[in-house]
Amino acid sequence: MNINIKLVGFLSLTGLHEGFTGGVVVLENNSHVFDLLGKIGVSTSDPYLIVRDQKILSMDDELFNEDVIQIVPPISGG
Amino acid sequence: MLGYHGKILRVNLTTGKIDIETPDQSFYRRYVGGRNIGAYYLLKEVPAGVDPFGEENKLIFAVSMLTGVSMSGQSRSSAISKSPLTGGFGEGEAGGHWPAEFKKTGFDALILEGISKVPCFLYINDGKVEIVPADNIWGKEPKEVEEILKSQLEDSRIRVAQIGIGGENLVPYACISNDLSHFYGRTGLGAVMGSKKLKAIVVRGTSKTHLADPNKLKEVRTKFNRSVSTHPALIAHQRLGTAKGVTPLSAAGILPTHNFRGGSFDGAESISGEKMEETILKKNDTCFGCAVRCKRVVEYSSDEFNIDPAYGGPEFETIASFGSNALIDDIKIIAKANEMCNRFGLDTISTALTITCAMDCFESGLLTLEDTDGIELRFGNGEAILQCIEKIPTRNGFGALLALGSKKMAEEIGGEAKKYAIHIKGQELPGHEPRGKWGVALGYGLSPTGADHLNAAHDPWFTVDADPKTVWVSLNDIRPLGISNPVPALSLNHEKVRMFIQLQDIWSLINVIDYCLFCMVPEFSVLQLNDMVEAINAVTGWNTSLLELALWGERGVNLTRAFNVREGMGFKDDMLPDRLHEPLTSGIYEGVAIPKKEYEEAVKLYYSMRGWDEDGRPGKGKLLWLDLDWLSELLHEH
Repeated sequence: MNINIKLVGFLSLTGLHEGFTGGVVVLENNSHVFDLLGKIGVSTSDPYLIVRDQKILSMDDELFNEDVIQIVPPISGG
Repeated sequence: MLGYHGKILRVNLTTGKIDIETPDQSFYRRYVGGRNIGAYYLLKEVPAGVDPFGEENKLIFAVSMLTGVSMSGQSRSSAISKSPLTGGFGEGEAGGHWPAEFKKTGFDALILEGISKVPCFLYINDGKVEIVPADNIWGKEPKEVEEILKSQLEDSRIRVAQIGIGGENLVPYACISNDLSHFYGRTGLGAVMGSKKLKAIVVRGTSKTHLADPNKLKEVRTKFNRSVSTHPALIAHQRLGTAKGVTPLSAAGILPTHNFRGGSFDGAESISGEKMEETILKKNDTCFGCAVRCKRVVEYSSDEFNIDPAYGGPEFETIASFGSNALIDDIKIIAKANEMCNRFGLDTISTALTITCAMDCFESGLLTLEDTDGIELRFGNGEAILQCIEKIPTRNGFGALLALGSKKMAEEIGGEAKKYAIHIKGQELPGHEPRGKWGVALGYGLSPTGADHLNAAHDPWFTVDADPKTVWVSLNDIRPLGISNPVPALSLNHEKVRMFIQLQDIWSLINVIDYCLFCMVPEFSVLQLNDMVEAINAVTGWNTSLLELALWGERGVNLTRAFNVREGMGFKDDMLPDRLHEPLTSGIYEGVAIPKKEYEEAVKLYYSMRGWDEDGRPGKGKLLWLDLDWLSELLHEH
């Protein structure tokens, strides 16, 4: 299945630490969030919010074909 | 003495008397700079209960041992006074070139007391100090003031800290600017300066302080400068400035929207740092000696309005406050509002939140078109915002109500207006929605200056134990403080309170050493905490440690708290506005509210952990522990 990953804000500039800058990722059917993160090189202990339709997903939430997933970085003062 | 001049300048504007004091090294080692030097003089010399606009209030500018050395992030100074907005501790930190130039005049701090009979400016030129009549610049805007002063003093390299007409007219949220576009933004310090009839402080100097170990400092500097082009935090910060926060905060459900009703804004991309870069960004600017270059300079021209690049571009706080919080999705309107506030010398956050309070009052019928001088004051109406800002500094018509600030304006309007005034201790909330990060709620409530987002680190970085190689800052970076475990963002348990205290001491330290938070942990893992110890040792030769640095920060928290306690503040003043105990209406944290009881218990636990009593008064033992014996006498024996 195809999962469309959107890196939010400056993450789309800097990319994730293994160079992924967003786009479509192909996963096996019945995959979960932790499968996706493994595919794009994000650790489950990274402090990103994984969001679908304005809801925070947890690691074992199931993903579905054509899901649009936002990866939201933390940001603080300024 | 290394790192300092050992001289504090005292200027009495009533008598014209100018004195130079020379505290010994133990004073500097105990109070260091910035916040702590300011708080020391305020507590020692400004009696409780004084009128912030009265002759007895003092305005103190202070720097630190780092100011002016060859290192990024060091050109910052603190301005301290009793705040006319909150009635408590007033504080602002600003960058630019002024702080480093002030240090080069040969002084470590400036104490301004009394009230001048006529408008004046202070000219400090390599140790020579003059109080100069300012009839020719009073009433003028900052850009013109700078031009006049450069010509009058025949020196194009002077640096100017000044107030706008907002400060001259004692608007309680008026600010002071350095170099036109760096601001001691909050708590109304510009109005205090205006009450002293002091228009500007002009500095020019060549004095340098001596360093203990220039080679060690060079190592720290080189480490930092290499990071500017490699550390992802600095790459993003240089490219987008603080405005980089807009879309992530909205996606994370913590961007204040519609006067703190919601946490996500549909128009976030239209007001983002990326949008600014695409449309109105002219160039970057920087503070003296800093390689990061994160400041925005914007320019725009149209039939409706022009934006003057001299006054800089909007930072994140301004964008959130005039943007999502007012339902404005046009970066040009926000940038124009920013420029107007900067020209008039008004704090952008307080100005915006006062206007959004008024918008709520208008939309609920508490204010009419007649009250607003015909301004259709609705959320989303950008023109209305600009019309309001124009009226504030001269208190013109409806501007007289707006010039009170949201708390007093709401009291004046009456009825349900109070629920639309989103403030703590009278200072309006900044652009971070705390219902999605409860540590920030503690930061807002427990800040000595009223709601302030720069009181402690924001939760989201420390909710997991991330690999430090993959994130901008991680739990690993703050482990030297004794912090072991991550804590969830939506928690007010004892671990959150403890982490909050440990980080609050470091953010207090940042205001004591007057260093830029974007250059070090716990904001970005560019300079580690131990790198800062190295830098301070390299400058002073003090053989200091992180333990002592944290103590300086803790001392600052207690000094500022003591000032507020002496002004009658306590537990009730540390509470949150009711809005934050109502559920968020949008974003991923929709439905979340901060539980009031849990918050109150967290505050009580905070007091206990701090060694304060049940109303937040620092205990005698705590003050003696902090080597503040005189303060213990002041608070406990009088």
